[in-house]
Amino acid sequence: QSKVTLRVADSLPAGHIISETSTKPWIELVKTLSKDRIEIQYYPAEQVGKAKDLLQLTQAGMIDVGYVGPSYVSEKMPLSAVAELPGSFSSTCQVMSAYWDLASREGGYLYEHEFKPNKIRPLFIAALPPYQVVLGGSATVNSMADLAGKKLRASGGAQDLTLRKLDMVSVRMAPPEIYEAMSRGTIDGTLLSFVSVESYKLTDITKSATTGQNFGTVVVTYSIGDQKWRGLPKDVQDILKTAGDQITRHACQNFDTQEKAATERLKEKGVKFITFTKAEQDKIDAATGEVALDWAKSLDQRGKPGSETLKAFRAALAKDGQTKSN
Amino acid sequence: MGRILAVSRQVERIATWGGCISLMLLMLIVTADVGFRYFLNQPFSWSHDVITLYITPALFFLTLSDAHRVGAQVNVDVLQRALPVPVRRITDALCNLAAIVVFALIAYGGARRALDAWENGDAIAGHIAWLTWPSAALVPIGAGMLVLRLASSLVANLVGSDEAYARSHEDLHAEGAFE
Amino acid sequence: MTVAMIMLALFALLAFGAPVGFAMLISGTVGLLQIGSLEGVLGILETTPLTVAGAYEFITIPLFLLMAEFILLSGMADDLFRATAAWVGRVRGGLGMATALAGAGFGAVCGTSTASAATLSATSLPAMIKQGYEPSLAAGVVSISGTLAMLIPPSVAMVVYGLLANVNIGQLLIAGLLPGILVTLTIMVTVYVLAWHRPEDAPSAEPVTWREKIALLRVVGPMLMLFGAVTGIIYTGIATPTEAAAVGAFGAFLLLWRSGRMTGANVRRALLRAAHGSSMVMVILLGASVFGYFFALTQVTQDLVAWVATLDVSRWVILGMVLLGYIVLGSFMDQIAILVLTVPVVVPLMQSLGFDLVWFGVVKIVTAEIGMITPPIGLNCYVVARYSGRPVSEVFRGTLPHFLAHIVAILILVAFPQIALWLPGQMR
Ligand code: NA
Ligand code: NA
Repeated sequence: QSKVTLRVADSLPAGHIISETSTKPWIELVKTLSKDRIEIQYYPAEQVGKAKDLLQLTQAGMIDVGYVGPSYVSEKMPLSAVAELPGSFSSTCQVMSAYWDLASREGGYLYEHEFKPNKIRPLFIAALPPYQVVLGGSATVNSMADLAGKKLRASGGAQDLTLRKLDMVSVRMAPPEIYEAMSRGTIDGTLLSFVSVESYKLTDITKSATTGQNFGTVVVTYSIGDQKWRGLPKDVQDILKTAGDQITRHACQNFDTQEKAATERLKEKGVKFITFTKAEQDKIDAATGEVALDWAKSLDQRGKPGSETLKAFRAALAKDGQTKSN
Repeated sequence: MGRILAVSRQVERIATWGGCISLMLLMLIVTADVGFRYFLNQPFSWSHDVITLYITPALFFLTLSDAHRVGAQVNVDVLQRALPVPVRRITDALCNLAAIVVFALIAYGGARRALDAWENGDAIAGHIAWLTWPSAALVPIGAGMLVLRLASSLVANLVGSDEAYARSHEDLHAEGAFE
Repeated sequence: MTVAMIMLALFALLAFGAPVGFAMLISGTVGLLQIGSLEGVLGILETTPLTVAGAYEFITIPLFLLMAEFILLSGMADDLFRATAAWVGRVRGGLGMATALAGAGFGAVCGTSTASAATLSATSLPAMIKQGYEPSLAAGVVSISGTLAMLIPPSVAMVVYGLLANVNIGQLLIAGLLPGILVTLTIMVTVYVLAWHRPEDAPSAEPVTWREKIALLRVVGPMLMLFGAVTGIIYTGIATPTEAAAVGAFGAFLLLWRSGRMTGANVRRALLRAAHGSSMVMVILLGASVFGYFFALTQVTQDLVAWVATLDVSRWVILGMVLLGYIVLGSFMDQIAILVLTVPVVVPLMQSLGFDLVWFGVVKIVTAEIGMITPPIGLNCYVVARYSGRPVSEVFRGTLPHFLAHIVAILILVAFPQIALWLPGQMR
């Protein structure tokens, strides 16, 4: 039996939560399951390409497995953003299972409409815990009304739409600039999960935050090029499928646990958690619902199946919910 | 031949002004964005996308060929200066040829990508769905003009006299140096 | 094996005078072809140019270049030297010190040391020579004072380092400020010692009345205001460091308008020169990216870092060797070429040794300043020689004392990292 080598590339800096929780365990698992028959050459931190180039580099075969974040290539993978919409779920596991259902196998809605046309196949996926509004010292927020007009950093796409719907001001900037911008009041805050608040070292300048909300998230996939995949022996394909299933399932729980721990640490640091009244919460839910519909409608108008994708994703969410309660 | 050169020079000149206007727009848009955000709490929602998709690529690719024309590229020419002129003409031609091949590949790949984006109607997600093909098209335009510019200097280098060659290379290329 | 061949091809291309960006792009492409298929390489050539050009942080480079062009056209750079000369010209070696101060002042609004050297050549060099300065001494001060522009923010070289090393650009720029003052003082002390040693080489300037001195301060005001405004809007959080470059360029645009020298032709010229300069930087960053991808795929860097980790020497010895290597490279190579060639290898190494990358960037830039004034390739000396019409050898001779003094400045920065890191620490 000959060895199989896979070149894996991503854009994550050393120690990033996704590489610690998903990528490295996946590399280890593949090694173990294949008894070292599959060798992984791992190129992190944009060593062989920037985040938005990795899809094309995977398609072209320069690398075998690329970190494909649909939001970096929204022009090529517009449908996947369905999993990044606000309000549709409240735990990482929910979104990851639903997205994995639709993306990982033949016949799955996103596999057929998004991965197959792009000539790639997801090996495993990751999603960050639902984003919260995280505010620095320049804003005192006690209620929904106080949030109006606050400048928040968002990463474009659905997050941008969500902030506008809730009368907040969306500002774009590169992640490394968030710390300085937030500490000096260039922005009042940002949308982030609490685990990222820690990795961007924002803990000390965070004064208040929402909790239990879902203002969107980021979904990423590690995908292999179709050509490479077809060239792999059947047993290697099976190992990769098993590893992907296991890691995706295992990592999502890990993300949720870490988010909970990060929430506790922020609480200990004296960060004030903003609570909303029933009426305010209804308003937020109505707004995020509208964002999802607007998102779907604008894709429909451009001839892409936005509404159908939304329907499929909601069905997958519901199905997962049922399996869990059974 | 002369006519082709004259036309392509005219195209290069227009493209260069496009690049310069992009630079002016860049300064004005970012400054206005900062002002609107700070004083009015209303930053432009479109500026980030417009700048990264269209303005900086236009600034770079549209001036690429003209920058090469005026010799703005930085090079290390200690050894080259020490070589006799006939040898230098050969090494110059070889370097030129290699650059032509690589930039032709860039132009080809860029054209393929732009065409693909155009056919699919690719647009980025967000408040305004900006089309990506005009952005992608800047690459083949810029790299293509540079290939023409390199090719014409390759021809001039091969057919001209040694004296004319030496004269055209005696200037120190410090224009635009940025260290 | 592939790596050695490709490195050889790269150096051959550089030696034959191919532009640095082209040389890296060509050799990187050939190297990638050895590793991947043509389709794979096309994938890289298809994506990288647009991604490099569309990086938001990149906008600081064209805008810093534009800011300096506007200031140059406004004529304020000339006034700056007249003002500093009026204030310190009477001291021993005063005009030389005034040149260093004007270099620092102009460096505070200009991001490139060649532009600064060209400006000083046109203003302070003739003034010193008219005053009876020994020409090589005068030319030496001008060449070295020009290099302050790449250390004192804004600095294009710093931004390039930040982009290549993935280090926070805002912190890097601010980190250059105190070391910039240190180096300015170093130059002034060197001039003082030279003038003290041979007073006839550096005669004092004519006295200037207090009335005139005060009047001349007025021309310094706008430039100080511009520098203060750019630094100020970063500190107060009105704008991010990236955005501040645009506000700075716009401020310089207003100063040009105020100076009454704004014409359509002038503005077009400034835009064209800045666009040419940024296009050149882009080609270099593009070449560096493609070459860097090749380099990463060969895993040379990881192997080197792993090898150094097994060495049984102090990290300071390794740092000393790296800096010495930079000074040697700097004598015959272009500074930006050195940055793009070495950062992918040296930065991971420094990081693995536990050195702060912001601090290392500052030290790297100060060694780069030395490279700008050492033969055979010392771009600043060529610029000064060309603008002043003096022989290059004379200019190089005049920079020798500054070369020695600069080594001392580097030692101080290495011994006291806080000089570079204190201000950025205040931002954190
Ligand atoms: Na400067
Ligand atoms: Na040198």
